[in-house]
Amino acid sequence: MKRYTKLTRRGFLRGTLGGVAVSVGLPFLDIFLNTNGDAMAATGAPLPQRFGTWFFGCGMNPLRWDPATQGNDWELTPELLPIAPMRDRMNILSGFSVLLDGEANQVHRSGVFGALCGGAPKTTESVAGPTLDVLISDAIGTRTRFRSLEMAATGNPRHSNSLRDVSSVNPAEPSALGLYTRIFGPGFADPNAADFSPDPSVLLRKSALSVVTQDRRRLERQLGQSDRARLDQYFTAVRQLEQQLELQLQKPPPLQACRIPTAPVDLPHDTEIDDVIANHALMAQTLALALACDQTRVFNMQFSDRASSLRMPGSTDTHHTLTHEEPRDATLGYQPKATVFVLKGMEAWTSFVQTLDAVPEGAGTLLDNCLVMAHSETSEANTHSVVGLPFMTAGRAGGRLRTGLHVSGVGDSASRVGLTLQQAMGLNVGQWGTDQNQTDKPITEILA
Amino acid sequence: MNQVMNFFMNYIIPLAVLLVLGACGDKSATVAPTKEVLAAAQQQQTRGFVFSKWEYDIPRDDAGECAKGMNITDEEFFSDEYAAVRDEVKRRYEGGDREGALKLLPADACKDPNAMPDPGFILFEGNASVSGLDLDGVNSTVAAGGQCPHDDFTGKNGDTGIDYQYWRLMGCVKGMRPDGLYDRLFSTNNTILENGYSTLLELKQISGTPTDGRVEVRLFTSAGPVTKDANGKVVPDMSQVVHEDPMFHSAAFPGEIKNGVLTAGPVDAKLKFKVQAIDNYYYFRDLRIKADILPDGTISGLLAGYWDAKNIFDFMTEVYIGPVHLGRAAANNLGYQCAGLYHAIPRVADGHPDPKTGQCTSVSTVIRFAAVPAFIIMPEQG
Amino acid sequence: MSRYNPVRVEIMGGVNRLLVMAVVLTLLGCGNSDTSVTGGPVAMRRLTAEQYRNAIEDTFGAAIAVAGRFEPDNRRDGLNALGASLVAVTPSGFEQYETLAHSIATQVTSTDLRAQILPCQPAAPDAADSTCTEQLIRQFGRSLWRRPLAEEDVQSRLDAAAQTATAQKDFYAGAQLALTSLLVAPDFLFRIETAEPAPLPQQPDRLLLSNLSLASKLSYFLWNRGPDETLLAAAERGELTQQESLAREVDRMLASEHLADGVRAYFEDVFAFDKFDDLGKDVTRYPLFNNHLAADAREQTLRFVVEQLVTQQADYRSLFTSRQLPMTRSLGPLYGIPVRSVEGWEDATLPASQPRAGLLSQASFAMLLSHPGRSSPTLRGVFMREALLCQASPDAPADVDYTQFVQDVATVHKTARDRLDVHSTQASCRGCHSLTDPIGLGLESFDGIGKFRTTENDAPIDSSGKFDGRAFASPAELGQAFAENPQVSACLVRNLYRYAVGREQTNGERPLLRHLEDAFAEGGYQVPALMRDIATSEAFRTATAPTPTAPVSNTAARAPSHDNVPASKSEST
Repeated sequence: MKRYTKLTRRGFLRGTLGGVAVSVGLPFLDIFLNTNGDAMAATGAPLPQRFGTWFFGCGMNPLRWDPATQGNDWELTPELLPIAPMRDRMNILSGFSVLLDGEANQVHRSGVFGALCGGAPKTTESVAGPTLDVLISDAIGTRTRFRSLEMAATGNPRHSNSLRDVSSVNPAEPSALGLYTRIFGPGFADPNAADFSPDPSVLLRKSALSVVTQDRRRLERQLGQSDRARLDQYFTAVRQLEQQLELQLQKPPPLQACRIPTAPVDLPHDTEIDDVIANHALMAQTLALALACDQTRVFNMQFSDRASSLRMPGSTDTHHTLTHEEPRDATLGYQPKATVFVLKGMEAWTSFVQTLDAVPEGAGTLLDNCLVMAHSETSEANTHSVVGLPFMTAGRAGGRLRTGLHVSGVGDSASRVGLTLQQAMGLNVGQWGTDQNQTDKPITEILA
Repeated sequence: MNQVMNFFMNYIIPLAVLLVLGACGDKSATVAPTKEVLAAAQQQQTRGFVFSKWEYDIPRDDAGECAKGMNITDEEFFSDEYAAVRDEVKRRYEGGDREGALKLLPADACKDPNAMPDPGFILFEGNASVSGLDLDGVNSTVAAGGQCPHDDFTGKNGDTGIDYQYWRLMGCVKGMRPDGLYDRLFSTNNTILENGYSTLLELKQISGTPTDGRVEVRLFTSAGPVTKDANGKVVPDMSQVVHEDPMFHSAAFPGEIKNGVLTAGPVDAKLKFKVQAIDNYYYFRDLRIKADILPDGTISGLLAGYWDAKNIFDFMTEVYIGPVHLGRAAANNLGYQCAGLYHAIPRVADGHPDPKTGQCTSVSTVIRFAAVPAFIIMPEQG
Repeated sequence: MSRYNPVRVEIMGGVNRLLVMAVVLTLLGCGNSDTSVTGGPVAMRRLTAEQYRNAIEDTFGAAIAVAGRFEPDNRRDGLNALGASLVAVTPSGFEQYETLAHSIATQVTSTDLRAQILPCQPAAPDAADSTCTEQLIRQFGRSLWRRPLAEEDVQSRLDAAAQTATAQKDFYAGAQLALTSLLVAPDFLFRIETAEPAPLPQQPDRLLLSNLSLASKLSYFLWNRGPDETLLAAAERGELTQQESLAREVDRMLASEHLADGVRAYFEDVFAFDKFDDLGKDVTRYPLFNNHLAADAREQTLRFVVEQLVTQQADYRSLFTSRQLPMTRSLGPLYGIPVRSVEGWEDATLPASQPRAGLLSQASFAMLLSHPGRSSPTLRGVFMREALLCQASPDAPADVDYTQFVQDVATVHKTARDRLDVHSTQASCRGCHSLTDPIGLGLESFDGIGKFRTTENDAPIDSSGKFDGRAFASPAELGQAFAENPQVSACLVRNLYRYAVGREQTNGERPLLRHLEDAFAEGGYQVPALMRDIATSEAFRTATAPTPTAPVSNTAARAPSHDNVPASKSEST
């Protein structure tokens, strides 16, 4: 299904390019369509693409979470039931593991930083950053007001996995009101009213290309006929890229979905599950509009922290302590109280994705132009297992990703997930990870 | 000097012979085994194995009943004291002050077993369908008395006289019961596949054939982790270097293979072990092996011997994440009290009596293991 | 005899073809034993990924990361080196080049690295500085473009850099622009040859490669990288057109550590190791397989070749019999030998009790020349015939009815030998497969990833056979038979020559090739010596006027070899 307005090719060119000289043939169409055929907005500039992570602590029960079959007609499992309304907009990636490479399992750290950094941390204090979100924001987050936004629904600014290196963890915004003020308070510039200044680095790249076109005449004198034909192909490619860059130098289209929301109420922020869910919902709404207004293109949401400190109202048992202390129900085969938190997490994740999907953008929704990875630091928390970690993605990254699929990594390194997401976000990365976790095999099943 | 302990001989030579024999059936090329091949096949052979499984024998079929209930934790024992400080502990802990939080709790017997009096410990009584070996050669009973009296088990296949006092010690600890924490830690998430060391087994043929004959046996700790294949299984025929510390090299001990079953021992062995927050070693005395050498070249069976009593307590309690001593947390997770354990160990000890006091200093135990072929390489001499 | 590539003559069509033939016959006559033949047309060759990386390292140092994907090479007549003069740059490929160029220029001008890499510092960091900019354009341009830059090339970059530096108030933005424009230029991405007429009035279309073009041709042949400053300077002094100074430069290059790169690049090309980039295996069948193992297997063979031919200066034929080879821990299980080193490489010797020796037994070939789920005697046989013996093996007839080959591996056709029996019973198959299958079956004791085995589906594997009339009983004996076959060394001469000149050999070059073969044999089959003979031959440094040919796309010119063993019922691949 393609979500773009049907235009004839000629009409499209006439209507959008005006004065730009079009001297090349058919292949030129390629630049208006990215690889999978999703179109740019009718105004001629691509919609911004966003990347985010969504973290939930203490994992799940693999036997109740992992779908049994791969592909697109897998059956919802007991712990994935909450995602039912959005399953076609998500992918489930099971069986991907952080390979410990002979290092000790740094409980509640190896799983998350192994997945985010492409290799398990070697000591209790170290992390071989940067994390995945930082790598991606280096590529796509430099032109927005916020390079990235970190949020902790648990109300603790230290609940963040985003870091460039171990000494520079990006602190999380702990309150919904604080998040709102940071984005829409003083300093907010309405992107639709603001003056446009072209990206100097795009300008620079375009100038470099026009220098090369000046080399052409000399080269043509030098070459025989067949090599001149190859040189023509080369300069056709140069010209196409120049025109792509030219589009990026024009004022982007108005962000139709961008509006300033009203300020949220300041809820209590602590680790009691109901407060966390309410805080998380408000943060998600504020974030969605921040994305629609292109204030940032990268975000990290922590629904719960590593070694989840979520707890039931009035109880002092945290999700984490339950995973260790609660007996496994012999009949059920799992820890019933701890598992309630798993289901709450899946519900919150689903509502987060629905919030992004509720914002219209282009011919689809904001979610179509997002790629969000949900993940945790363990599979089964009771044994701190980093084998078969739970990963989910939501959104299509502007058409670069297929959705609705379950892929099992059968023990492959979780680096394959990170590599795939980097490539989906347009990073020119062929290989990622260290030691056993190094991979050059993206999960092609979900790449469009 | 290179001391490659285990050459290709055992694998390559029989394969080469097979290959040559296979070729004989073909009209186009008939080649008899060369003299060299035959001579090499006659030579002493050394086979190496790397452990792919290591787990306590938890009797899943019939773990027996704990009529007196299960052991409890410090937190349950001192429930009032814990409740009084709980909020402050949590506040400090979440604020990052781990040491400060732990200071508020009652004295930690996991650090110092004499920090409090013996709170008691529930031992396992009766029978359970354990695996294991008759280590002392006697069908012992408490009633029969003698030195360090204990009740032997009868195994599920009817074997009698099985010495497994470690199950008496831990059989009523929640985390040791079937499907409990240890069961899952050791079987679902095989520790060898997750951590730093494995155990290496070397068989040097003294006489007879690889399926019937006498062997000289050694056990080592590996220097590094096993290598896994795409299915997460330990890769066979991989080279494994022996740990550089000679403490983790057993002496050579005699063994015999009959009808594909290896029996060997006794030997004293210290074997390093690392999983999550545990980085320690086992000290076994008079350890024996009984295992099947399977047609696919792998080996599977039991290590049974006497676990040094002091080492048991250290092993159970010396649990660290970074500098933080987490022995009590581990005990809480498993479901016992360190002070109780400390005083219970001598009550179950059944081996190596102190010549002066007569008190036994080791506890019979059983490890189930499996191992795949490997090349065992001695470390470079420093 | 034609000194034109027969393929190109075909393209020119009937009448022209006759004319050319007539002219050539008049000029040279048949059976000419003169070894001073004219080379092919001047060429414009696209850099390979490795050559690109080498150029960046040589120009800016090892600190610069070259992260990205490159357009695939174009394999022609068994060599990417032959396709390099035919490939163009596609729009998506150019996007990659531009991204890379921008990333490299950004790194070079970054605050971390600029002081260490740039040859000068600006008078002020926030303004244009034409002196410094010009210096870096000339220095880096010379290295990247493999020649001194023309004034117009410098000036256009200087102007643009000044404009950007002024507008952005940043000298380094201008420098970045200048560097990017050097890196995306055709002069960098292509090795563009130029030539001048040779002073031979009776051969007006005979050209001599310019000194600078010859410098590049030499350095890419011997080093797989651009000329160093010594070679460039010699070329600028016009010394490469003089036999003595040319020989001096070639000897200097053969003594360089970079020779290993050149030898390695040739074997990587002729062994088609670029196919490792998309090698995948069915891991349910080969759970040991992963990318690291494949990379180690590839590296093992290349190290082996360099070690034998360059370091030990061994006889080329010993590649087929040597039991020494570099080994890593993870390759150990494939060879069934112990490996002491936990990381990195160590020298191993395969025991004499193993039926395994030499190149043919190495895991790289077993892995590459197999299907994802099983070995392929036919792929292995085709490779040996084509790449090692220079014997063409035609594609399968188009009308093969593969259904007749569906077989049941569980019962009757347990081994590949059983399954391939159909090739020898079908007349349409027999012609080619009688050449490929018997030698391919000689390597059946290596499974689809190169692990030694004695049985397949519980049936014993028979790896005996005959190679061109000579019986062998094991892979090691097959290797011995290869080592003693004169066609093997003649094929190396032919392939290395084609690789060096970057084009198909012509009939007129037969005498030269025979001469090279004789010299190779007399010198004890030393590959560096053969490289010297090729590099100093007249054919290497002369050219003909350009001929019109059509460019080709990046897709391989030839369909991949088929393997006539269709998946059978009980196989899951």
